[in-house]
Amino acid sequence: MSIPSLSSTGTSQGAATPAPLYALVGNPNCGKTTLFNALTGLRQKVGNYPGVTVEKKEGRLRLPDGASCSLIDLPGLYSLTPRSPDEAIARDVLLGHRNDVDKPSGIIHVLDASNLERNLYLTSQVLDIGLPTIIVLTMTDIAKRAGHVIDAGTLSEVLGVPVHSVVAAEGQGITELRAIIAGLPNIPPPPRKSWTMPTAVEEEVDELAEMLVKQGGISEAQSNIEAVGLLMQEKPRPEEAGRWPAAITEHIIKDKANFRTLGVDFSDLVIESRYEWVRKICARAVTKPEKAAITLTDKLDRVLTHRFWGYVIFIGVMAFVFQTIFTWASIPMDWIANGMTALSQFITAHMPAGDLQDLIVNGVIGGVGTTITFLPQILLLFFFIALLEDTGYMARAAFLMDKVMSKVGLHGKSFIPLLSSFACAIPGIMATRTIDDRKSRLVTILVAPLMTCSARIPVYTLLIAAFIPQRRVLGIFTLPGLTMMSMYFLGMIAAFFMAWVFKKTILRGQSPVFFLEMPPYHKPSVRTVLMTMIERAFLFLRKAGTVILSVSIVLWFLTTYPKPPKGTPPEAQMATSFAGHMGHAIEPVIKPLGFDWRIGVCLVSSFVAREVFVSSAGVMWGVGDKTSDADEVSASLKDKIRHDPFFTPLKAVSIMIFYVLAMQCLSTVAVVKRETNGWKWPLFMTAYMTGLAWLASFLTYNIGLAMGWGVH
Amino acid sequence: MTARFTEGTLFCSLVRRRTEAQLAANRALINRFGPADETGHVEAPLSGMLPGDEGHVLALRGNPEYRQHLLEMGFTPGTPVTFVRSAPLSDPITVCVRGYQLSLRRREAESVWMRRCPPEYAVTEMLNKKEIAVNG
Repeated sequence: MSIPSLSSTGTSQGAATPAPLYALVGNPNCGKTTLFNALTGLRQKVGNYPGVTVEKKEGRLRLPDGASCSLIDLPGLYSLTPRSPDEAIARDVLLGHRNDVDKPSGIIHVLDASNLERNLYLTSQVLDIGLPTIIVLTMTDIAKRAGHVIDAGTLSEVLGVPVHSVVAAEGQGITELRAIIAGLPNIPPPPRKSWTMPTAVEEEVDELAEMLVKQGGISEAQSNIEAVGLLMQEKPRPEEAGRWPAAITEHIIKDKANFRTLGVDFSDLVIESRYEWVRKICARAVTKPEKAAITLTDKLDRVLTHRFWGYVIFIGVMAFVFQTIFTWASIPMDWIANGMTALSQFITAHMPAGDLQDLIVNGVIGGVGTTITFLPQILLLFFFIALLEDTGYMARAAFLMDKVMSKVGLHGKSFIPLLSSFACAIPGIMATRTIDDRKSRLVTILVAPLMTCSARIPVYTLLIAAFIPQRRVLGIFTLPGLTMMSMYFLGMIAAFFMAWVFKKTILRGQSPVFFLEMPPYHKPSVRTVLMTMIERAFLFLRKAGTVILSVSIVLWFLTTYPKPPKGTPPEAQMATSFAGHMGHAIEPVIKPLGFDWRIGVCLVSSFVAREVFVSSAGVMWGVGDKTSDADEVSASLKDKIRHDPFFTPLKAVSIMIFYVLAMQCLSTVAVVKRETNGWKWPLFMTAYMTGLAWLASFLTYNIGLAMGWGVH
Repeated sequence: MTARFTEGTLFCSLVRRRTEAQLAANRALINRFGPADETGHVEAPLSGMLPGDEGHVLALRGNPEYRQHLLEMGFTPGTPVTFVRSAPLSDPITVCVRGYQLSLRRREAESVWMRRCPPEYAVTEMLNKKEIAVNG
């Protein structure tokens, strides 16, 4: 049997036949990613679908006959009704409506054997597409343990497509699956729609399907699913505008009116009919024990979601994750920093001094260094996230935290990203990927940088050591300690407050229904965990790293040029540079906060990263140059600024508050750009945070002055 | 049965206290949504059910998009649903539908109307009451 001509937007004009493209389709949590990794290994490409935040994953798969094929991993979905961007994209890819993706010539449909009923609901839609399909049963071990007996032979017979079982995590059945995929082009497409609705309704659908074939240019095979989809929609999606001729659109409106007068809810009818079809199939192919056995998952959940032990274990797990990314990650981060210093010294020693040397040492190595110092944290955090996701604990953590987070309009899954943002907002923002609800995810991204990250600590330490007196408060606390703590609390309160504000204003509107599937616990797949880490690290390097490097070079340029005559002291050189001019230029704006142009220079230059404030201030107050050791600078700078008549404790507090709230981190901007797939949100974020910081510092400084605290 | 159930032991009093709390919660539920029919079934929203309760979906309310989404997740009329547990802070809740566990917020579970089966512990009480009514 030969397959019908399927490539609609194909690039197949070349002489060599391109590798066929197959789509991997399945429910969330069905083991699709593990299977994708097992099949493609490291031959993967991750990107974004243009205009949306949906990730696009493609991989190459070598087949046993020596040929190869491309595999596109569609987002995990419960249904092909285009309700969320994920579902819309999956539907459009499968039906060949996207210009940026070729229409797949076959489907590999992944089914979770331990949860067959709901998974088969998607199957009823996937088979309607009419493409040659292979069904892969995963999680068969869990199904067996729960006492489910699935007759793959019968299932294959009733569905009319091959069914193959694998245990992807252990690589069982993968070799055979490759052989089956190699034969995919020869597999006949599934039999035409096998679920049924009342005849009167079916006739209406058939009529529309026929119109779609004749006037809409839709193939016979896929006309039915298109017709059903169009009739189920409340109103057409914006991207569908102009896809269909007016006659069809009118017909749809007429049909809907017909259904209304008949008192038929078409969507309900379709869904119920599909589930009826599922019931019939399960009755033939699946035997379940009369009374569901108490599984290990039930027993574990009794403890892990317990009102006392659940939180004890949750706090324990979170503390461990936090400890790791906050403390242990700093060890390899120090190695990287030391390596970068050694490299700069080597270049300084072996290269003639001049602009090029300066560019390489302070611009390039600085930028590259900033980028890769984030790697240990990203790798570690994603190791834990992949582990928590893959074992099933992530859903429980979200279940425990949802009530608290929902108070400010966030999601149970926002907790881990916000917690990791205490170490660094970069891995935190990357971790929001686990939040399915788009609005909650965006709000989490927008407020994550308000959490006090480790890069702010050097700024606080310097200013607290210089201006906050060592005084005991209430016997056990000290004033510097309390000041530090207040900064952390201020950041946290600001984050929750802004989340609440965003949910009430720009990201208002009904969120999609909160659904959190509680998958059975299972052993994590080492490959999936490792690949998630590597994939995130590469994405960060490729997408955010390039932005960080280029802006670092721009900032190096601003602080270096125009070149002053030789022998100028560093502070004078900085003062006459572009950054110095910018410091002067923004002075009127920051004067109400108690800052002068020198702080302005520090603000401009520390946009690379907050801790640069210390070295910049070191240059401005003449206790070192750009390459001096930060700790040494901090120690001598502390005395210098304490005796500078310009500074008062109130001004120091004003600066600290500015740093709590301001978006002084170029890497965060770069990563938000990558995660939201555009410049709109990172720019908005910079604007709102800077505005908030200005306002808070302004209030602090002026109220402080009015209270008479502005003295030494 | 075993020694652990002997009157007066701590375990026994804990079990009894738990059953009494369950019975009280059950009565409160019936008072709120009842009355129960002669077989003890009550029509109640999923959000009003108690941990361990079983029932069948009667209808889905709420806006069409919610309803469609819930239907697609398997809450079609007639489907058996078990209320597994509620989160320690009472929201969200976990239910078992079509063999898998799903958490949803109470606000959303309100739109799922159920015919709730009388729980086992309440059936015994109900039978006792009937007996008393017949005998008395």
